[in-house]
Amino acid sequence: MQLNPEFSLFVGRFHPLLVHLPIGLLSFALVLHLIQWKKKSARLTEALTILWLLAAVSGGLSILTGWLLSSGDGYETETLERHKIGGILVAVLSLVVFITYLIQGKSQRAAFPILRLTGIVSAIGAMILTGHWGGALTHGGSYLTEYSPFAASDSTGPAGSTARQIRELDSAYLFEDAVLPILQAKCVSCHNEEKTKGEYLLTSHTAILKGGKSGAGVVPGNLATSELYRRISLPEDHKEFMPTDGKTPLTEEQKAILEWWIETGAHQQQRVTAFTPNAKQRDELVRFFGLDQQAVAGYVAPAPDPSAINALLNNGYQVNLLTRTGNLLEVKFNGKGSSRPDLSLLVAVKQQLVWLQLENCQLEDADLTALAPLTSLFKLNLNRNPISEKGLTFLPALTKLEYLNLYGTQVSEAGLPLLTSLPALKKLYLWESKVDQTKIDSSKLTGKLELVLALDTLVP
Amino acid sequence: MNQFQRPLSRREMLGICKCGFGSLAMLGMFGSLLPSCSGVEAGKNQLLDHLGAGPIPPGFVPRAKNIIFLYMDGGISQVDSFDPKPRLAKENGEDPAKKFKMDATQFGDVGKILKSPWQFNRYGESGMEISELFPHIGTCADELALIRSMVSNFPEHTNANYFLHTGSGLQGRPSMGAWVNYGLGSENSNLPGYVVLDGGLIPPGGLDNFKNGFLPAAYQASLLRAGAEPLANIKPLDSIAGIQEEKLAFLKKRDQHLLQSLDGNDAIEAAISNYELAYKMQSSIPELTEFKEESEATKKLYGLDSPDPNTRNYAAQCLLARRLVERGVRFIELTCPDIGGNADRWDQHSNLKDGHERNAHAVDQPIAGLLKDLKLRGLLDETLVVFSGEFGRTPFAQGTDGRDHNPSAFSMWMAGAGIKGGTIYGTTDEYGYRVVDKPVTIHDLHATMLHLMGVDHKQLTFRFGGRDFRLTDVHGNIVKDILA
Ligand code: HEC
Repeated sequence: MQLNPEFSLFVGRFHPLLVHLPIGLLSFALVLHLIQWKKKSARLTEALTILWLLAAVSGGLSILTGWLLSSGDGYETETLERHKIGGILVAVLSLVVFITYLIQGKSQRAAFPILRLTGIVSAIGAMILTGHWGGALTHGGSYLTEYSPFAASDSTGPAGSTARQIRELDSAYLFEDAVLPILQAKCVSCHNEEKTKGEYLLTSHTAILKGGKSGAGVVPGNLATSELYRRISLPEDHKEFMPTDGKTPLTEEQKAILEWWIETGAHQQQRVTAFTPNAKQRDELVRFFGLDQQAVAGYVAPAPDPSAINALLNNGYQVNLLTRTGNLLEVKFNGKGSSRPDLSLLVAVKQQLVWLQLENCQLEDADLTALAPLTSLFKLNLNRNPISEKGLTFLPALTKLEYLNLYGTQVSEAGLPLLTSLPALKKLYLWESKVDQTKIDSSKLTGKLELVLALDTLVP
Repeated sequence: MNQFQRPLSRREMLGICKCGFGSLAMLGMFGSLLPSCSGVEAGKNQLLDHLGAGPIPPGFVPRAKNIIFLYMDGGISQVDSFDPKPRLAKENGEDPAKKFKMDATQFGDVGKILKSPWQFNRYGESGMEISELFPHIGTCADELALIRSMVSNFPEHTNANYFLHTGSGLQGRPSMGAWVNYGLGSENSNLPGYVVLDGGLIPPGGLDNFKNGFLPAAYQASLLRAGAEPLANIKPLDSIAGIQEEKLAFLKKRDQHLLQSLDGNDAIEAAISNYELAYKMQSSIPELTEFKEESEATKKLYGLDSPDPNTRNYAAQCLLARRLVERGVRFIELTCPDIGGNADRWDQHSNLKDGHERNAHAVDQPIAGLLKDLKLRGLLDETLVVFSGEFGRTPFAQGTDGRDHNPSAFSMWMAGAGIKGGTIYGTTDEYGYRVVDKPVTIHDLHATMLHLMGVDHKQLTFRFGGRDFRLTDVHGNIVKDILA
C-alpha cells in the first residue's frame, strides 16, 4: 500500500494515544476475571465478551497506526520488531478469547476453558511486554531504570556517560566532557550498538578512532585523513554530510572542539588545560561548558586585603566588587582633569583587580610602568590622559587584557605594532588619538581585534 | 517635637519584636529558613562589609553596567519600522477579515489592509531591513539585535506600560529601574541610580511606571526635565553660603533622633537619604546638564543643531543620557518628546504617515548619535541600549489612514554590552500581525536585561506581603541567541 508519507505519519502519531485503549480494556478485563474467579455471574460474562471484543478491535487499530508510525525513521529495529510482534499477539489473543466467549453464547459452561485461560494470561503478559518495548522505543531503553536506586552507576564507562556539570575549565577533560557529549547529542542516535550506520560505532574512544566501513574514523593529529572530520566539514547539502537526514548539524563551537581534539592527538585522558588553549579556544570552551556566567574566563581570586581596599578608598578611588563569588574588583579613579591617582596602591589588589578605569587623570608615560604588575587586568581605561605609545611598553605584561581604551590620548600609529600583538586583546579604542587612519596597514589587523578609531571605521 | 513621641504602633512593635524571644526558638528549629531574621547580616561577605554601604555585587561578571531605555511611547508600528511585510503592499485595500482571523481591536473601526507608506532598505553587513523612517539608526544596524517577535499581554496603553515597566499589568509594582538599583546600587553617591529623562510626555499610567513599588523608596526614579531647570529647586535658595548646610545638619540630627527612637524606619531613612542626595545634586546636576565640555562635532552627531526642535530636544536627552552613564547612573529611561500637531505619541490611530514621520525624525538622529558616541568612547561595551514601545500596531487600517493597537506582535531592539550585533530574532506572519516563531515576552526581555547586568532574575527577590516577589514574577527566559 502506498500512502502519502506525511499523511501516514499524521495518522501514525495517533498510535501513542490509541495504545492505551487495549491496555486499559485488558487491565479492566483482568479485574473482572479475578472477581469472577470465585463467583460466576452471567452479567460479568456479558461484559467480558464486550471487553475482549473491544480489546481486539482497539488492538487492531493500534497495530495499524503503529505500523504507519514506524514508517518514519529513527527507531531502533530490534526493539521495534519485538514491539510489533507483541502488539499483534495481543490483538490476536484478544480475538481468540472473544471467540471462545462467542461460542459459549448464553450457556453457563465455558467453551474451551484451557484455551481461554491460556489466551487471557498470555494476552495480558504480551500486553505488558509490548508496552515496555514501546516505552523503550520512545524514551530509550534505560529510561525506566535510569534513576533506580539499584541501577549500576556507569558514569565511569564512556559509553553511558552523559555530560557532567563542569564548574571550572581546569577540571574538564577534553574527550570525556566535551567530545563524547557532542557525539552523544548529535550522532549516537544512528551510530550505536543496536543501529550502527556505516558500521561505525561512536560510543567509545576505541571505536571512534577505529572507524567503520571505510576505515579509520579518527587519525590522531591528522584532520585531513580523519573520516569523521571530513564528514562533519562537508557542505551541509552534500550527501555524505553528517549528521544525515536533516538532523541538526554541529554548531561552529562543537566543530571547533572536535577539530581541536583531533589536532592535539585525540587523547582519551587529558584535561582541557593540558593543551594550553589559546584565548579563542578558551572562549569556545567556556561557552561550551556554559561557564561565562561564573567569572572572567573562570578566574576566581582570593579575598583581598581589607587594608588595601581602605587605602584605595581613602585616596579617592572607587572600588566595586564585580562578582559575589570571584572576589573580582573594578577600581575607578576619575581625576576630572585635575587630580592624580596614587598608582602604587594598586599592586596590593593585583590578584583581584580585573578592571581599572583611570580616565582623565593627567597620567603621563612615566607613570604607567606602575601598571605592569597588574596582570589580572582584562579591562583597562586610560582614555583622555596625555600619554603616548612610549608609555605603553608595560602592556605585554598584561596577558589577559581584552579591552583597552586609549581614546583622547597622544598614542600614534607607531604604537600599533605593539598593540595589535597583545595576545588576548579584543577591543581597542583609539578615537581622537594621534593615530593616522591612512597609515594603518589593515592586513596586520587580525580578525578578532575590533579597532574603534573614528565614525566611519566603527567596524573593521 | 511632641508629635514624635507617640506610642509604638502595632506594626512597629511587631517589626521590632519579630526577631525577639519567640523567633529565637524558631531560629533554632528552622535556621536559615527565616530570611527576615537571619538574612543579610549573616550572609554578608567580609569584603562587602569592608566596602561599607556600597552596592550589592551582582551574581556573576556583568556585561552591562548601565541601561539606557529608549521608551517609544504609544506603540511604534512594527510593519512600518523594523519588520517589512511586502504582502501588505500586494493586498493593500483588501478586506483583512477574508485573509486571517482577527482579534477585537481597541477602537473597533477596522479598515482595509494598509501597506506601509515607507520603503525598507538593507543596512550594514548583516543586511538588516529597516524602513526609511530611521535612516540614521540604519547606519548602526550591525550593532543591533533586533527582536521581531515581541508579544505583550495588554492591548491598552496603561496596562501595557505597567507591564513593560514593572512586569505586571497592574499599578503599584516596582519599576525595572528600581529593581536594577535595588540589585546593584548606584555607583555614584551624588546622583540617583535611576533617572528618567522627561522629554515632555509622561506615559499613560503616569509616574507609577517609574516608582519603587514595595521596594525601599530610595530606588524610585528621579525625573529630570529638558531645559534650563531640569529639576525643581536645583538652585539653592539660601543666598548666604553655609546657612543651608547648618539647616540640613540640624534636620539630620532631629531625624536621626527620631529614627533611633523607632529603632529604624524605612520612610524616615529614605527621607534622610533624600535630603542628602538632594543637597549633593544641587552641585552635581548643573555640572551634568551644561554641555560646555562637549565638542561641536559631538553635539552635531546627536543633532543638537537640527532645525527640528523635537530633534534638538531628544538630542539633548540622549547626550545627557551618555553623561549620566559616564557618571555611573545605572538605569536611565528617556521618554518621548511631545511633537504636537494632531499626533499623540507614537499612537497613530489616524494620520499614520504624518505622526510616525515626525516622531521618527525627532528620535532617529539622536539615537544613532548616542550609539556612535558611546561606541567611540568605549562605553557601548558596558552600556545596554534598549529601544521599545509597549506594543505594536495592526497591519490593517483603523479608519483609513491609522493603525490600531496590536499586542500580538511588535519589534524592539537592543544594542551594546553583551549583545550580538546584526542579529535578527523571531518572525511574524506574512502580515506582521502575529508572531509565528520564537515569541519573546516582556518577562523574557526583563530576564535578558537583568542577565546582562549580571543579575539572575530568579535570584533578585524582595519579600513583600508574605511572598518573595521578582521583576519577572514566575516567568522569564533569557533570550540567549541575541547574546554575544
Ligand atoms: C540520521 C542518522 C545519522 C546520524 C544522526 C549520523 N549519521 Fe553518520 N552515518 C549515517 C549513515 C546512514 C551512514 C552510512 C552511509 C554513509 O556512509 O554516508 C553514516 C556513515 C558515517 C560515517 C562513515 C563511516 C564509514 O566508515 O563509512 C561517518 C564517519 C559518520 N557517519 C560520522 C557521523 C558523525 C560524526 C555524526 C554526528 C555529527 C553522524 N555520523 C551522525 C547516519 C547518521
